[in-house]
Amino acid sequence: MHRLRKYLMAYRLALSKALVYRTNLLLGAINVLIWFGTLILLYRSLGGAIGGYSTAELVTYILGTSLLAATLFTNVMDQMADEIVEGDLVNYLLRPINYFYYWIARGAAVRSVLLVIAFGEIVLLSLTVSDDVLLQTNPMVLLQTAVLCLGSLAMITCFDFIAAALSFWTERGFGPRWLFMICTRFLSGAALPIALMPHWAQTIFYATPFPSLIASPVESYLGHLSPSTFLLTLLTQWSWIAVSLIVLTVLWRKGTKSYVAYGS
Amino acid sequence: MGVKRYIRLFRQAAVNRFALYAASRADLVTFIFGKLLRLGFFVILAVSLFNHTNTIVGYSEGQVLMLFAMMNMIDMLTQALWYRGMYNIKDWIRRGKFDMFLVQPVSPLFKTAAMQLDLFDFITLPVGIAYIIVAWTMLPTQPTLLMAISAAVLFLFSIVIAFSINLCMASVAFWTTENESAWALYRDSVYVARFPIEIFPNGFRAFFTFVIPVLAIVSFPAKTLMGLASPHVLLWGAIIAFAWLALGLTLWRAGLRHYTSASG
Repeated sequence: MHRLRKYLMAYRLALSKALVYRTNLLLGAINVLIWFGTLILLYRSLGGAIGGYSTAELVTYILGTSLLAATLFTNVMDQMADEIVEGDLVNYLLRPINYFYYWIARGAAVRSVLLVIAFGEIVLLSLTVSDDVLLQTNPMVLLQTAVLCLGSLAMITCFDFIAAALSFWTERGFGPRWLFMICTRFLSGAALPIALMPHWAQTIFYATPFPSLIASPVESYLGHLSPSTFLLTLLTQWSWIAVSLIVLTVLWRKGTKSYVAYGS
Repeated sequence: MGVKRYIRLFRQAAVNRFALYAASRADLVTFIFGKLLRLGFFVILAVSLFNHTNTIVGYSEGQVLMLFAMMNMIDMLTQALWYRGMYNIKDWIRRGKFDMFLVQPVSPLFKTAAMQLDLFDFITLPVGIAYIIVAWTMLPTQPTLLMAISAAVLFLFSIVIAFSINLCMASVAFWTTENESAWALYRDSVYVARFPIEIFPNGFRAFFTFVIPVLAIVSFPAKTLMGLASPHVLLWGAIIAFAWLALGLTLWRAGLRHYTSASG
């Protein structure tokens, strides 16, 4: 418990920082509303089921992706990358603090704020399209979804660290981080169920780890995963997490060994 | 004389930016790949939906692709020409770097907007043009010469509107430097502006066409090209463009007067 205290403090500090700029938070929330609200309007305008998805399933899919996307996609990796590039990482390396746990605590603070806001948004969106919202009541399906959501959280945390670690070798590493961001937002199935895409696109999307972030938990919530498909999905997700952890470990070890920071 | 000097400065800025980008090949490759990936995603989105339906609120596949292509082109030019500089102004103000802009014998607006060219978007410009050509060939009715000329004029108005909205947002940085979510809001609005505006409720559509005209940016030129615009669209385009330009310049001047320097 004593060892945890410093990370709890990091959580509390990050929480207060996140709450300082409330207008920024509000605008961020409106952002999510605009993008996902538009997708809901787009799918409702189709006027019926497409590709085996009813309008209610499509709307619920987008509500689910909005909740996950709002919580998972933060700018944590940019802040870490800045610390690496600007030499602030040294301050952490010299202290009795684990940099990863520290940033997991900070990320958790930001995500808890975003989760609360996202819930509010989902309620708001659900009220406007209440006739097209599916409420999942099967406890087994909800449990499966929760397990996959935890995997998504573990996965995005690894991705954030990997994207930030690339800054050890590039001046800013903004390009690779931006590419990561594009991949997480567009290849994860956050805007459209991957099953609706042409087969060649599905093959490409499923060859990447990104559908495990968003599409898998949301499809699970809709009850689209049979027990065997769920196990396969879970196995795929955690295999990608294992690969990410290996990549992260290698990058971090090499990066910290070659790290040079200049004082001012 | 003055214009020649600005052209020379603009050319020098382009050379400097290119040298900067060429120095980081990782950024160059990942940025271009990311931009193409994002463009490709929206094509996949349209193709996926039209695999399951013939029209979206009355728009054919070619028309929807034209909306996407038009938005892509406007967004590309916005990003390439001034977006980065206007986005970065908050950092320059925060760090006192903006003081340097004021003491130089160049318009601070020109220095802010035009000296941070984003060459990645220039590099992907041919793809954007090809996208428009493909969408053009897929239109159900080929545009007449008059429609094409009107659309070209409205395209220029759209560029002015986009510039003016960005100028307003950049000017806000003189009062608050924590406006990142406002920029993200603009980005997401730009994303949704590529969808047929008929999917939005009437009030929302009118507000975001005539008051905050992000929907007009795409719909005016694209719908003119498709022969779906009202006869007064050119007049509306001109009024909105000049009103927003006047607002942007007024806010910018007010911001400059409010600026008190932050350099230490």
